[in-house]
Amino acid sequence: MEPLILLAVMIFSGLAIFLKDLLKAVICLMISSIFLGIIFFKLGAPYAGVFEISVVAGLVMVLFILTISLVGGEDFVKEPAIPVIFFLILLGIFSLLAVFGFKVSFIPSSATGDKFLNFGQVLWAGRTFDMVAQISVIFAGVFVILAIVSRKGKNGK
Amino acid sequence: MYAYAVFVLIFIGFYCLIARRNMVRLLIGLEIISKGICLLIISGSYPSKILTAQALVITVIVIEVCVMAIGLSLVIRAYHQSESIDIRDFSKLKG
Amino acid sequence: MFLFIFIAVPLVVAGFLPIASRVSKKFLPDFLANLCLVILVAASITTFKLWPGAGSFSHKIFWFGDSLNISVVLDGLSLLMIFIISSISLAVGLFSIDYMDKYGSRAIYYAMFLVLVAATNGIVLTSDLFTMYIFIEAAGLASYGLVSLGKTRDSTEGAFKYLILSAVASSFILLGIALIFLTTGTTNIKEIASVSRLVPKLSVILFLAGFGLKSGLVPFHFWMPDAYTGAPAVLPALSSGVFVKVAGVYAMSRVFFNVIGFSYNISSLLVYLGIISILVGALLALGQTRLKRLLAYSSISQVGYIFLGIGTGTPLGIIGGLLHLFYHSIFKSLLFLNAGAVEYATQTDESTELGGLGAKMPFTSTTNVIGLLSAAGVPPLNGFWSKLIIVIALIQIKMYFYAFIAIFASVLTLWYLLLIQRRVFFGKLKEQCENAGEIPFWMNLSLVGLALACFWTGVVFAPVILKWILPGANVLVEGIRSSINTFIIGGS
Repeated sequence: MEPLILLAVMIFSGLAIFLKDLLKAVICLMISSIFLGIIFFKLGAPYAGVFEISVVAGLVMVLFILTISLVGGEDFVKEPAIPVIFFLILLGIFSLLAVFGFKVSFIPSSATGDKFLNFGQVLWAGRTFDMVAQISVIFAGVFVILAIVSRKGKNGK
Repeated sequence: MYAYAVFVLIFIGFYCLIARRNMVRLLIGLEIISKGICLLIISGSYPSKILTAQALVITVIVIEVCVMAIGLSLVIRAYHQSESIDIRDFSKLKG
Repeated sequence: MFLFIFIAVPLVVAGFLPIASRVSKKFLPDFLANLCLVILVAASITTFKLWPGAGSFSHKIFWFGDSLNISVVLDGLSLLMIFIISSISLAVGLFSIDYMDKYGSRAIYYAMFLVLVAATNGIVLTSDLFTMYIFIEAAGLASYGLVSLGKTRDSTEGAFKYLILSAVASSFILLGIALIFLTTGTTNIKEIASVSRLVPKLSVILFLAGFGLKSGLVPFHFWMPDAYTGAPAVLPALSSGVFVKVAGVYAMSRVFFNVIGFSYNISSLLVYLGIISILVGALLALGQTRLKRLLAYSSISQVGYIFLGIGTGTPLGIIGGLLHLFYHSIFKSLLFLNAGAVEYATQTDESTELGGLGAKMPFTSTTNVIGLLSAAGVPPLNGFWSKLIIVIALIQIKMYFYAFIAIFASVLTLWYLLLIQRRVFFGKLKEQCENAGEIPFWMNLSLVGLALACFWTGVVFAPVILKWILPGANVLVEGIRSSINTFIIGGS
């Protein structure tokens, strides 16, 4: 079952960059996010799965759709006419290299024992500094967006 | 198997960044790269380190949301100022 | 508890600033932000006095009696970085009291500025790779906002290109961290260092590309000129003086020396890329006429010197590299703020339209001369000593050709900066500059302060090295020593 879902993620992501209509491309990206969330559930990461679905397939897509409606849904930009075949050939070469070139073995030799029992403890007691750092990321995002959309210009009052 | 999917996703993301000119599509490409990295973190740490990996992935998703939001507001302002969202039009600063 | 104020105080003040701007639009944001920066400088000097001289501090934070699991770590290298960040931010903060008159809302500008300061402090104070990545992202977000403050088409263009390229760099760094996490099971720096032979080689390449993009190392330098030209002059001063150093040089040295372990291949790569950066930056700067663009290419060249010094791996080379990092922050910020002062007085950046400003702006032209001579490495100003130490270190390991290139690029630096100086400040008064007056008090104060710092650190460079640079260099040399133990002797 998993290989099929992985294939769906890859196909929908590929479609998202090739469709001419921006709105359809973004909806393909959303469907690919939902499939990725399902894979996260199956791999035993329910929190990451729900976050992926609700944030990426929800919030980010809403932002995209807002922008597309303000900017113009049709892809007015004339894309270079590189055919899809070129992309598939590059993909084939790259995946051959990837399969036979890189051999990285994932042996998580955990240097620390797992002293936390459930996800809540890992998140809040184990990685607390990350939570503080996320506060700074969110502040930065809020202030930058306020700065970009404000209407006062140079020499303006 | 998951490693293969991760490679393909990252490749698709980078191809989108290189070969597409619409600003919104560049941001779609960035999003696909982040998806690939999240899949790498979670699939590689199954089943022993899955809790820590989830915490990392949640943080990565939050950061990506902020970057996307800033990128999209820049796209809106670029459209306001010059009616075009083609990245090739923005090469006035070369030289 | 004490170390946490470097991150917490700027964030809290940044949060209050929009509220403060409802009370008074101009005075209160200026006052609060600069007060916060003065507190940070005082705190860094106090930390310096309290530091025992070697080893690392690690504090646990207490929140209403419960102990949170945050450990803030400070060692010799972090101490140097904190001091650089606080002092350069104070200089830029004082400068922007008058400079940001023309740019709209001050509270939002100061808020982004303080978030940038808090995030760069966070980068140096953490002992966990992933937390460092989050703070690098936060600082990057704040600097995208600062680039786009000009609200012209140039600034939007610069900001978007900078965003895309910097996000690509961040994804490289994140890939490297993910690979390290998957092969060693942890993201804590000390724990990874103890199992450093498990780190895959791919991570090294990814980190080189990612941190190289963040710091403007050739061949990843192409975002710098575009991003710096369209931005108000405070951004290049902050970015090239603080952010490039911390998120690029500090992060790369920390990862390569203390985490992965230094090896001959990494060393030769850094030295090659450093030399190429020096040459490319200097040669490309020769043909530029726009002030900020020329200074951006000059930054690329000087960052090459820093990597050249650190990449040699010898103690003298590391001391030279860190010294150049410190001095470059001072004189490059001085030069960028100077370009900002010229732009404030004459509304233009293009040196072909300027001329004869020396008579009308005496302070600005004097500080420009001081900054220029420091950048070119003229004794007794500070640039001379750092470049001298790097050249001596190169000669010590018998890389004579590289030493010659370093000296030659110094001469090139002197040439193109002097050319601009002559064109802008001396010569006949062009009509654009008719009503240029001397710049206001706070901008003057910050420029004069930085120029005096150039003098002072140049004259008393020996105590500076012994007290500030040597602890930092020792940390990196420790990293090399332990990696030699692990690789050659086979134990740890």
